[in-house]
Amino acid sequence: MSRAQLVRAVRLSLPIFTLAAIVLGPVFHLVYGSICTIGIGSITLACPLGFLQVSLASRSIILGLLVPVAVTLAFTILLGRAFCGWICPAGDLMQRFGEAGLPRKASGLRLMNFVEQNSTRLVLLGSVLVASAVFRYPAFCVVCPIGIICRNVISLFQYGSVGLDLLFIPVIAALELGLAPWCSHICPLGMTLRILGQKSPLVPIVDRAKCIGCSICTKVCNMKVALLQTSNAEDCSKCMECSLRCPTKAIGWRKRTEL
Amino acid sequence: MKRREFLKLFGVGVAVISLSDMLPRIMKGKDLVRPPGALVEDALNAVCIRCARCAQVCPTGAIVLAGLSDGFKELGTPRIDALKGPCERVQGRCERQAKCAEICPTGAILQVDRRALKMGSAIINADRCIAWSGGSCLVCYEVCPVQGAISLIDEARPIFHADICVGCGRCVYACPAQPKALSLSPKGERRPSSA
Repeated sequence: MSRAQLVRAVRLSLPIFTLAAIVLGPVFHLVYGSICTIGIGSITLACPLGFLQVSLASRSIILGLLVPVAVTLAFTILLGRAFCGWICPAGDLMQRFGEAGLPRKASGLRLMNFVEQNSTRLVLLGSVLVASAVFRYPAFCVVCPIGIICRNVISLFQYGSVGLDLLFIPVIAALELGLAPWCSHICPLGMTLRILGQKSPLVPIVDRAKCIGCSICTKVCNMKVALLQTSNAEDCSKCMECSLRCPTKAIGWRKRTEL
Repeated sequence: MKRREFLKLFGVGVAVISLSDMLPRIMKGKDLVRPPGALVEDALNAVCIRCARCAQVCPTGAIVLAGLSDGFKELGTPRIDALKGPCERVQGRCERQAKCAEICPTGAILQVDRRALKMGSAIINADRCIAWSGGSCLVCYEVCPVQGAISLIDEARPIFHADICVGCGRCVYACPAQPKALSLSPKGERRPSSA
């Protein structure tokens, strides 16, 4: 097995291990909760977007979540959107589905063709937060693919049944076909992590002396980062596809400060 | 930004916000029995982060997560399903502390004095009841942890007193009738309004 295959195998199986840890964790008194608020031993991490929503919905600061959110924040500042590439159980599926609609781009049916990726995501994130505050419930949490997957595997493990809310996933996936790929263009949690982790020191950097301009890195990027055109890699999910597949090994993972 | 782009973005925002308003109206919340110490309905739906920890630690498996049929706003919040198990806050493994309240990270479920607990009440359907149909069955009366919640007529047929019953669901879970003669309702519940 090549190094690239090994990295990909680990990356694609980690979400499954995470789900296994979620359902088996309480049995061994090790892990409690879903990804939304997960306690591993004495360390607890909480979803920053979930925290924002429930705080706005309840119009108070949820004190119990402050430390867990701070822990998540520390990881995000350091690692950017690495969660999206390595842990998220929904991302790979959603992104692949969204990309399946890409050929339609030419027909101009896709809304995103006309709207800049970041402004759309910002509007989506903002609307979710406004809706939470106005209608008094975490408006994204209830349909969040990550939350739905976690809650349903827990329910499947405990009671052997799943809920109808699983249907939201194909519904959202169907919407994607007309809009854009999920992770890179829509996901409000991804956008939150992008904003929080935009100063992450862990970014792919192209060595221009070695680069032959083949743009394979751009084609294989899960997050649609155009590495050759821009140094704007805030969406990078650290999946390492670009550096592993670069024919001249021109992409390295160095501190942004070396730029 | 082009005018056309601005309009599209505006449309996206309006669509998300109006869907967030419409979906809870279409999928209205049902009357749910909530875990012991759960905040009042509006506060619970606002503050619960839907992490399912309470369902994971409930020793009897009584806590399940609300599904689509329980309401859109309620989706993923904890509710008591007495068919899965009874709440042991009044008597049993959670007597000292409610495990659900202990693990809740947001304060959506609070530790309340178990003597002040009122999650709802059990309702009897006498047509299905074995005792009321002439058989001999006193299971509900025997498992009830609350003095006076169930009394007997002629030492044979159970009468339920909703004002005394705390709604733990023990009788519902134990009821041997098929289909069950007992169900749990949040009627009469007392819940904390905020932390």
